[in-house]
Amino acid sequence: MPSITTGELNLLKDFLYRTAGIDLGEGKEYLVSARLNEVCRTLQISSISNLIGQLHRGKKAVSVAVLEAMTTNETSFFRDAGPFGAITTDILPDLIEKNRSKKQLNIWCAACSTGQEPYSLAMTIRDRFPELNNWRVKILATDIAEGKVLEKARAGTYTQLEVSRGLPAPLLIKYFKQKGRDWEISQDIRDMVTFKKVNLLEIPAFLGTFDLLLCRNVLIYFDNPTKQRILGSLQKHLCPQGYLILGGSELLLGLNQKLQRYSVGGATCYRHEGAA
Amino acid sequence: MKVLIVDDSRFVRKVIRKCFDGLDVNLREAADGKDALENFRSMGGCDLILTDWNMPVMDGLEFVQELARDSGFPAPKIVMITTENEQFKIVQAIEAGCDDYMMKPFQPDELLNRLRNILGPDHEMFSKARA
Repeated sequence: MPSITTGELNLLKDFLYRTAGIDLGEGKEYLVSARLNEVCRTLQISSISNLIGQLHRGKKAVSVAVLEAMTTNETSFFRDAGPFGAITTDILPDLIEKNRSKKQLNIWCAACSTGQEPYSLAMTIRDRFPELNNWRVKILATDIAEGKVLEKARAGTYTQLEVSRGLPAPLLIKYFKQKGRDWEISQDIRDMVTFKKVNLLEIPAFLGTFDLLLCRNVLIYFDNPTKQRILGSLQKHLCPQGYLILGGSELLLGLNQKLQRYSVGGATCYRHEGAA
Repeated sequence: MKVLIVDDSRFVRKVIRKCFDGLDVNLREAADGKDALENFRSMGGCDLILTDWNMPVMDGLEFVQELARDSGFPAPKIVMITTENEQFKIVQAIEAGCDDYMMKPFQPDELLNRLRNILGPDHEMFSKARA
């Protein structure tokens, strides 16, 4: 497999840090080459050198594809039992109690990739919380990668392999329809989720505030100053009584003084000081 | 925790058995639905059944339907593990009484995730590793 030179890698690192705040770190050459070769194939570019050259000259299609390739992360339906268990047994019941008078619930999946996380939340709400049927429930799902990633998320169509990972069969037959070799999520579930491109370094102020905010397995890609900056923005978009859920291995450790760590239903979440 | 693994392939039974390495379980194997029913009764019922669909003598669906009719024991959790991937087959299995359904081939982690989901993450099987 054609590999990447040190000079090209440095240009790529610079691009990722400037546009997305991503700190690629050391020792990722193999992964980088594999992902960039895939982009070369898709865009019919003859080599990684050519690709990096076009990226350097600011060619839009190339920068979108490279950003997408380098930020598309592992995802699956109901990924990690801990947070989804806590959302079902503790967090949503608490938010329902607190928001009962306004009958409104706002949720944000801040790095939704191909959509499995927000759709898992939508199915949980439909399946386990029928009292929310007459509430205004908004699930905003955002990702920095536009193009193929958000297109797939919006389409809500998944392969057999994708639905075989994490999605319980009773939910599969209730909320999906088999289409040839793929599975398409129901219109009702799709309508519960709005997908948007959002760069976590430039979160628009008009996005609003959220009762539940998931930003899982994203901060690991940033250096500490960038993590601090992102957490500061996320915290501003978290309702006073809201819950922020990060990835299992992501700890704040002094990166944000206004958010406090709580153990809820066996999962770790962060809330404004004094929210509990 | 009593677990019954039902598959006509000895290799598949071995693969499934391996997923439980280090967990506190009492495993029994059967090669078809009829054999599984006999095992289920002789072991005084069980907590979890992992069964294939296509098997000689009695298939997995008939076995699950038979259990649902009147097994004489508390209902176990059941996962169908099969190569059948059509939606109507999955519906049939869930309606017959399966709690989940997995396609072959599968990853051990995926099976354990599904078991955590249907048994609960705090189930003693996961907290008490075999000494």
